[in-house]
Amino acid sequence: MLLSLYVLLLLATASVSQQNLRRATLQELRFELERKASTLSYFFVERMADMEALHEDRSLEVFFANRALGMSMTYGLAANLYTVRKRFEGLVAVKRMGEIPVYRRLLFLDEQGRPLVDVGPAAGGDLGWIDASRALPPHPALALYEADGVRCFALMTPHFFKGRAIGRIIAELNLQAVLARLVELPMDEQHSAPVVEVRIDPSPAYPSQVLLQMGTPSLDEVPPFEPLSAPVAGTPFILHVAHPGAVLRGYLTSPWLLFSFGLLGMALLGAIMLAMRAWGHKLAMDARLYASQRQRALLREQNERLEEEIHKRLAFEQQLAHQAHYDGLTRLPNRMLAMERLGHALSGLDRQNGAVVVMFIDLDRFKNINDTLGHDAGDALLREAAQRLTRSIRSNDTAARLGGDEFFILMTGVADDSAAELVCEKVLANFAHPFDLLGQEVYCSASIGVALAPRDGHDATTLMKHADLALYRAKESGRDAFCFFTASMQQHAQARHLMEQLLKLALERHELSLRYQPQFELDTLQMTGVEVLVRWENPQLGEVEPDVFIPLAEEAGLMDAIGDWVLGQAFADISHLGPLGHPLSFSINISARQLRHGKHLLERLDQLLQESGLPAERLELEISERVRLGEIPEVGALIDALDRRGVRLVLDDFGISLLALAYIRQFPVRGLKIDHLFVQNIARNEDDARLAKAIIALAQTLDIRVVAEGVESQAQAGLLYDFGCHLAQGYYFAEPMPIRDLAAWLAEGDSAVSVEFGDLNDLGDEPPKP
Amino acid sequence: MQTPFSRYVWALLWALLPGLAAAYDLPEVRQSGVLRHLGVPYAHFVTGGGDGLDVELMQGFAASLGVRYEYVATDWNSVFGDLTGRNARLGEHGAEWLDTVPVKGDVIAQGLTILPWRAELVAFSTPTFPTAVWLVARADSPITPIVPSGAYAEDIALVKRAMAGLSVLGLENTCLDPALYDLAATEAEVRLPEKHLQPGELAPAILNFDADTTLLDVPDALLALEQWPGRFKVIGPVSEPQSMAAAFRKDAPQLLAAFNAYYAALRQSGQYRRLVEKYYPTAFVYYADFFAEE
Repeated sequence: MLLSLYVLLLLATASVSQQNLRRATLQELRFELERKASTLSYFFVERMADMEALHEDRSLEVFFANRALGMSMTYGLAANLYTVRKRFEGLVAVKRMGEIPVYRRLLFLDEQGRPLVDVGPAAGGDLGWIDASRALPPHPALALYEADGVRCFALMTPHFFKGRAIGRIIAELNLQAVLARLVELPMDEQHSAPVVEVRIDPSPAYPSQVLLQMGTPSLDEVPPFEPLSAPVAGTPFILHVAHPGAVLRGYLTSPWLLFSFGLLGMALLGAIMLAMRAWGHKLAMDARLYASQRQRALLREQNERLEEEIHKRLAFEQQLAHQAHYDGLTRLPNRMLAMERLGHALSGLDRQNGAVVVMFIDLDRFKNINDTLGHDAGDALLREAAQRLTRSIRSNDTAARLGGDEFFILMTGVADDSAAELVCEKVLANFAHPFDLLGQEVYCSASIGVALAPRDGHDATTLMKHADLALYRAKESGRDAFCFFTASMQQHAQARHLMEQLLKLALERHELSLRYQPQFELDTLQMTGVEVLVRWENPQLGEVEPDVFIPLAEEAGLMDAIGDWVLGQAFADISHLGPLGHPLSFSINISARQLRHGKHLLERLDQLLQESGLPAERLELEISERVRLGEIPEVGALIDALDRRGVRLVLDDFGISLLALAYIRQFPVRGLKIDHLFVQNIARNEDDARLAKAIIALAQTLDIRVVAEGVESQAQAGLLYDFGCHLAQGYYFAEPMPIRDLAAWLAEGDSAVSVEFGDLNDLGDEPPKP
Repeated sequence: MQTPFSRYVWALLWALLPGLAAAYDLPEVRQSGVLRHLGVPYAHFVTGGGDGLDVELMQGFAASLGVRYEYVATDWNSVFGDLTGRNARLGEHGAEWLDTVPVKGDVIAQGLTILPWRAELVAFSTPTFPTAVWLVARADSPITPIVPSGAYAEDIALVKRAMAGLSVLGLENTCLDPALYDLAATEAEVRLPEKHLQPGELAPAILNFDADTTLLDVPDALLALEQWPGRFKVIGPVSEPQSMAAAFRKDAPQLLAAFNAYYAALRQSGQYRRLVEKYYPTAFVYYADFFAEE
């Protein structure tokens, strides 16, 4: 049923479309015909305009004016006619349609029908068709005639001179070619063009006739066709379509074609229905497949997320574990892991051959590098140091960072001390090369303390402590060294600990006291000053030497308090001397720690100078050459400030290191003290004598005062005098004495010692008596 | 190589001492490097605007000699003196020599009609243009054009009879000199312009009622007919057919021969015909024989 309806609908639509198409085609043909008629009409209007222009041309006017004056062709008129002919020839030459000349012939005939001008391709042809006897028509006219066997068509227009018709212009048109060009109806190659005729509209003047037929009638059956025609305005012509050609064929006209279309349509409909059913099945399958795929994708995605989460957690735990056991900066095991491994190694001590070795490594002067070059450089140093340590040990040994610049090495299965020594030497050798810290070369040595299990202890704590003690000893011995633990170290450490405890109480218990050792001019033996020395007398330890307790006080952080006390006490003592002490200068030893707190030191000195009223010029501050001034921040500014106040800086223990020379150049040093080690041997050792002599010469050159320390014999005093040394102190002249003894000595009014330097060689080795 | 200065000094000496000086012929023109064309503006021969049939002819001639072309303006009374070094005029018995003047040019070319008295003064080249003298009247004058008889002499007689009682304008020393055509024998009143006129100015003069008619040579008459259509009428011929040509000094035969050779080649090549078509297209109507292709 549906199929029948569809076929009927298809046929009806085709029929209606065909009718519409036919109507539209005919309409189009009619329009084209009218357009051609209009073109043709315009063509004739143009020709009339040409004629008009010729009539009005100046050459014709001149010719007829001169002719009217009676001029002859022989004398003048021929030239005018020549101009007219040129004008006519020009028009024939110019007016063309492509290659086709519009005019075959242009003529000017006078009243008698004689040609004055005759130009164009057909010039000179027959003129018999013109009836010269007839009066000239007063308006343009068309002429159709046969000339030389050719059907001709001409425009004839009368020429007027001074209101009288005196001739006519005849324009014979190239009609066949022109009409063919203008009337041709273009069609595509598959269809023959319609047959178009140019006819004369029948009138009294012209019988109806076909002027031109374009196209050839087809022999095919032509559908019913009502002929079309269009008049050419302003002319007697009609354009007529006598045969539609293939225009109206070629469309849906065959019943077989319609039947074929119907059959094709049914097949198409069936195919579409089958395709839609199949498409429906496919859609359902696709939907199920899609749902299943989506579910699987969802599950897969969830599994992936779960796995990812598990991986993340594992990684995080591993990271935490790593962070718990490894140092973030150096990637070395940290203290915790090091202790674990040490505990593990010690637990297997019985089962393994050889000893367990524990090494404590400390970077010398690390703090100074960190302070000077910054923390970034410090971190770089630690990383590089870790790598050098790792390179120094075996693959199964452990290098760890305990914190700060403290490192740790654990070795197991070590045969004896020498094996451990080899590793220590390797470490020191690896640290002998400079470190490249952010583009800056820096040298940094290491100190190593070594302890072995089971010899030096069985447990981790003991071994660590002993290794630390050994490290301390290594540092004490001058750094860049290693030291194995010995039992004496333990005892020494214990003694130090005790002493440290007692020293902390010493100030409170007034166990510290000051001694004043006089200094003399060698040429006059007059006392010029005193050096202030501190003494510690403890009921348990007895009298403790400054060389022992001062470093201890430095390490224990007691030096600030002790230094302050010494300054205060010394100023008080000197003040008590009153006028007796006036000529004397007094030298006070300043520790490195006091220099580090330079601002406090300066304030304290200002305060004491002000309170005591002592001139600053009488105060000398002795700084041991051992103090590394370069490592103390802003020490230059402090020394300059002291110098500006008049306080003299004196280098103590001069000659034991090369640093002193650098200090002399760098700081305003006003005095040197030749170390007593040199002075002791100058009478017996020529090298020492030469050194002492050189130091004195150096001081003289630089205009610096020199004091010889520890002079114990007349020979020493004599040599020093010979070398040019001006000042000296020592037991030979006077022992260090309490302030009351000094006051008593000064009170006796004899500040000179009773020795004669006239002939020093005669003096014995006995010390002179004050 | 001669410097421009020495060239002019040489030319000056030659001009000041015509009796003593040697001839100034083709070698001298070549040596001086310049051809001096003497001309008076006339019809389309020398338009006065820098061109004209004779101007282009002489420019081509100078180029063919390999020398520079120079136009030397003159007038009808001085033109022969400027060429030969002595002025002259038409006397009762032909040419009359007048005063000595400096030579200014090497050739006259300006639509110069070959006349017997002129031929006594200069050497004419091969004719370059055909001409004649016509009587032209104002359109409103009572005289009517003759009906050609077919014989020239008869036509001239008809014209001379027709001009009886009318005033006729002519120009001395030119081809329009009434003395040349024996007009005194007619009953016409011969008039010469009161003011100095050029031949081309005679046609407007009769429009201005200076006279009833005027003598005009053919080229000028044709121009007037075109320029003022209906204002003039050609009555008929006054002279036999004439010719125009270039004029050279009689003692410059080589220069004359060189021109004749150049002109012959120009006609042969068709270039001269193109020149004439440019300036006198209607000339072919009357003188088809003269301009026939060679």
